[in-house]
Amino acid sequence: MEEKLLEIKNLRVRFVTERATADALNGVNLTIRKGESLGLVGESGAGKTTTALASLKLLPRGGQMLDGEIYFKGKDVMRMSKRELLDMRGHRISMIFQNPLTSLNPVFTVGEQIGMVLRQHKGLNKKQADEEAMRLLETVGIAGYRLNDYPNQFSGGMRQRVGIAAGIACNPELLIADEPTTALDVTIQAQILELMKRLQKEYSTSLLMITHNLGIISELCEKVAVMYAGRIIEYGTVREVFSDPRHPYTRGLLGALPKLEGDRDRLTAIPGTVANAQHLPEGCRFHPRCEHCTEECKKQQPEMVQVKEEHFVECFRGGKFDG
Amino acid sequence: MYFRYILRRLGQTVIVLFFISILAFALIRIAPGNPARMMLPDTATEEQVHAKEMEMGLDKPLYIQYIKYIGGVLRGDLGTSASYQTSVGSIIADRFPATLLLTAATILVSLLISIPIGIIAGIRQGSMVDFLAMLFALIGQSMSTVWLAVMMIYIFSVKLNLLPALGMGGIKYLILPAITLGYPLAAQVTRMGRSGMIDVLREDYITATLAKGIPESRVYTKYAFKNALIPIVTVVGLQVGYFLGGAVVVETIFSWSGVGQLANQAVGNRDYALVQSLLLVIAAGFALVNLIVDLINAKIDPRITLE
Ligand SMILES: Nc1ncnc2c1ncn2[C@@H]1O[C@H](COP(=O)(O)OP(=O)(O)OP(=O)(O)O)[C@@H](O)[C@H]1O
Ligand code: SF4
Ligand SMILES: [Mg+2]
Repeated sequence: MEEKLLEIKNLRVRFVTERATADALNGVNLTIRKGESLGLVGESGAGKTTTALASLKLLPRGGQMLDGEIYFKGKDVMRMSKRELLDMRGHRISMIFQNPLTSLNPVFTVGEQIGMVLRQHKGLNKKQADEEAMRLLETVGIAGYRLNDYPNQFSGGMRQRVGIAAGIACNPELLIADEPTTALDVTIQAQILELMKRLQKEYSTSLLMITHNLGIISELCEKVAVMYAGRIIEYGTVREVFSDPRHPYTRGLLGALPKLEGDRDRLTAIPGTVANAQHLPEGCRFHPRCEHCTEECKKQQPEMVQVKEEHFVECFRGGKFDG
Repeated sequence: MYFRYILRRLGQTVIVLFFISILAFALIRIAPGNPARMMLPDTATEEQVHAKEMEMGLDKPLYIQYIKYIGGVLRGDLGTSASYQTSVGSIIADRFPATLLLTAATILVSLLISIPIGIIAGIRQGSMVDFLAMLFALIGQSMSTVWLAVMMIYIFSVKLNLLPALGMGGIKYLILPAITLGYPLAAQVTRMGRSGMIDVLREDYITATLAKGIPESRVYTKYAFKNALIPIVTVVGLQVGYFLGGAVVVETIFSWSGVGQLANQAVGNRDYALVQSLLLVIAAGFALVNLIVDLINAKIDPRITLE
């Protein structure tokens, strides 16, 4: 087994705002090993972005980590010194943000926004950073001379690629990509996926790929984790989980798709309403939508059980629904 | 892009200046009574009035009169003040440096205090520092200028005998009027700096910058501050415009012989030639400051030039 790169144990995060309290993460366990690529799927509000931000110790204002531990290469992230933390962020782990329209600073050039990470971590001066940023722009399919343009001179898809260029600038050990291809057309999307595959091979970069697109996961990832209402409810190799899904939610997800290659599927085809982090049900959080629900499911939290060597599911019935 | 924006704004400013000059020109001609007499002291004889009428070309069509007027203005000839019996141009040139000095001191003092306080309060929202900053701002925004001026004089001149209350001289004379004039502005900028920072720090791009491992101090002072600065520049520019027009109340209370005090006297003396030119100079100053503010903002935020 490869070395554990990122290990999240029993992570609980709550958001307290003036209006409401949301239980975003309710005991997340997740491990990413060196060189591994993990797909994280789940409907909107499941807690995917929160999991990623917590790993960088960057929860937004109002977010409290109630419980849990996060280790990066065996080091407790919550106990890291300022220096270790800054070195982890952007250098060892880099994150591509979900919304390209809001994640670039409108009053700085894209060159500056790619270059800052190089100056910070690689000790490059302004000129070297500019040259390297140009090269990175070319890598993601943007002409290098556009270095001194501002974000709003680019389309959404191009801004996303600028974010990707900044994300890969320092050859991170772990790349967290939060829906990096949603705003891209199919050709560019394919190029970006190729690029990520290449990074994985050349630098053995680990990947945490957050997406709604199951096609991307089957293309890019070895492992997949399915998230529901702030918990991982199914985990295993992509081959195992996709060919033999056990959790009723995962089954719904896969059944809702005409084909695996289905493009940009928002995960809405499962009956019932999306779980609301402000009013989560007792017991198994999926039970109001589950056709196999029993009395036990309404009262108790199921444990993660192993169904195959590399396949786990969090369901009382362990995915056996013959009766 | 920026260059084209400069040209566009310059063009707009020229148009604004044109309208201001029309307004100043019309002031004398629209008012009831004989315009030539209004430009002269009350004691002027019939001959003097007649001579003035000829000089102003009142028998000629209005556009000829305007061209004559604007030609004079461009040559620096603003007419003769009735109450001072000298050229209006030299009176204004005499007073303007005092107002400029007071404006500069006021802006400097209030920004040096309010920007750091506002930023820190925004970063530490809900802390003790934030509370004190908000108190500072609340007091500054609710106090009247006259009352503040009187309190300053009472405490620092009368009681403590630290600073002179009236007149002009060295730095000492500048302190009380600058603080009186600057406190409300400082209060406003503190609030704006604070709320600007709070808004910016919520933005995804700030989280993204922190996720790149850039130290917090630099993220705040460099990457967040620039965004929070834009509304502040606008407000400060507006204030500079007002101050350059003369802070009438403060200049009068502190016997500061600037443009504001002059305007106050000119209106009191019904010195129309002086009032007319002050209107022209103050409004033009306002338009120019506006232009400068827009150019600075466009430099900070490139989105402005792309509209
Ligand atoms: N800054 C915040 N303040 C308050 N609540 C928040 C905040 N960020 C997230 N939440 C809540 O936490 C829960 C998880 O949100 P999160 O953004 O992690 O979901 P997600 O899986 O990334 O969804 P999406 O696919 O829409 O991006 C949601 O219920 C959301 O409302
Ligand atoms: S634990 Fe019960 S309610 Fe939850 S998914 Fe399994 S069968 Fe359905
Ligand atoms: Mg998200």
